[in-house]
Amino acid sequence: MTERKPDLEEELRRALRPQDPGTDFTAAVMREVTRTPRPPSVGSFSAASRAIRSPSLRMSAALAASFIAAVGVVRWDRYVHEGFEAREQALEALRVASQNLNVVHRVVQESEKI
Amino acid sequence: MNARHSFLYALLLLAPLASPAQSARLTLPDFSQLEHKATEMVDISLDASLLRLASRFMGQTTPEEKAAKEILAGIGGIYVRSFSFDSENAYSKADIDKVRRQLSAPGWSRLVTVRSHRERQDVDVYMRLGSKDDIDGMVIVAYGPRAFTIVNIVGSVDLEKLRQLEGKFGVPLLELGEK
Amino acid sequence: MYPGQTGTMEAPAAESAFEPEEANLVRARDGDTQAFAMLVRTHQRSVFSLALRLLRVPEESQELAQDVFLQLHRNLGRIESARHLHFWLRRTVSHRAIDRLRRRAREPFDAVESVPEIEMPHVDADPILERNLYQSVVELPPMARAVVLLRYQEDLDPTEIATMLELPINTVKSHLKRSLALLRWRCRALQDGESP
Repeated sequence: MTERKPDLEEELRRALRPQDPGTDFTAAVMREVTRTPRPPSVGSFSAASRAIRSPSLRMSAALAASFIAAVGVVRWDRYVHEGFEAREQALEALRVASQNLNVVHRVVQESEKI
Repeated sequence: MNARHSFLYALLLLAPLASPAQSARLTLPDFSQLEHKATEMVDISLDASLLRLASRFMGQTTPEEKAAKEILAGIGGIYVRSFSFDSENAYSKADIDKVRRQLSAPGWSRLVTVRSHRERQDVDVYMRLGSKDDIDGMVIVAYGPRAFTIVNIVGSVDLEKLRQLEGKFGVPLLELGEK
Repeated sequence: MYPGQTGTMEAPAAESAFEPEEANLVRARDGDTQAFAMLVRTHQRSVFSLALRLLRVPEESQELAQDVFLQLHRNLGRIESARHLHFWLRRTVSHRAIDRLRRRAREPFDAVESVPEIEMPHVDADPILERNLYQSVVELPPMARAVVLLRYQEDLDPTEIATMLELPINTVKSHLKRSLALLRWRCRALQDGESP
């Protein structure tokens, strides 16, 4: 009697069927949604632009500081992103090299057994 | 050191010394025209500064990263071109020959050539001795009817540590893996 | 760009599957909170499950999933269609989860015990195999895990996954091939009682 081998991809789909986050999830989202109004659409642009056109000196300094901090954060984020990219690539490169060396190792070992 | 390692290192001692002006970095062909045909592709070029960056993002908490970080400490560059195809003769052997011609330059020695029937490929490993008798480069050229891989490492690399790295990634060593 | 976007990539065949959602989306864009709640209910299982299986911490996953819907609410005006919404949600949760994983100091590869116990859906066929598969998937490296989840949880094809994760198509195929080989091996090893 032959046992039918489970199809891995089908089993994966079964194992990874989405799960429910719980009965409160939608309610929790909607509580936050009703608390936080949506940002203004294009039609109410003028209110935002009035605020920008007449900042105080203190507001200018604060905006400048925020801008510099934001640029710093963006640079840091980019550095972190590039760092992880380089890490992934280095690990992958070493894996490929290692795999091929193991082919050599195995063939040499097998030939020494003969 | 076991007999096999002694043999490999003996080969290295016989290798001609490299000229200081030559580099262990090869000029790899442009394989961009193969990208659309490949079922799998790895194209990595990491020079010394990128490897330093990569190393900073490797922790000491997992065996593979710890081992990888140690290996990277001696390396000044790593370049990989690896392509797999779903049909034979999808790539030109002339491109592989261009790489191997560079490995006949002074300083490079072919350590070993094996033919693997399981992977259906030949694998050549080359090493380069620097002016101070230390290893300053390594190349692996693996090629078969449906795939090829070129790995060029600039710098000093411990072959045995690199070989053992595969098992630490959680990817099975080839002896255990399913083909 | 997302698959199905007019004038760019080839439009898919099954548009009718998205029609009921289109009406909800239009109403939600006009400020109808009930319509937005319907969109949340439609997509919450997928978004939460992606977050959970990537981050592996239930509380953090709930928080991220909720945040993604709040981000959706802020950006409703940019969602062009129900299909775009489908794509946008999965893309956003994947990218944000992967960003969080990268910000963490470490990502443990082994130690099945460190993966929190997560209640699995009831299964009929082979609960042990499915549990082993599930545990093995959540232990894959982050990018490989994201590719496997988008393929087998969300049923996306490799081209869609490549667009979503901004990866070359061959990298996606590589991740799938390696991951399947690893999953096959780990499940066999776990079932045979060996340590992987």
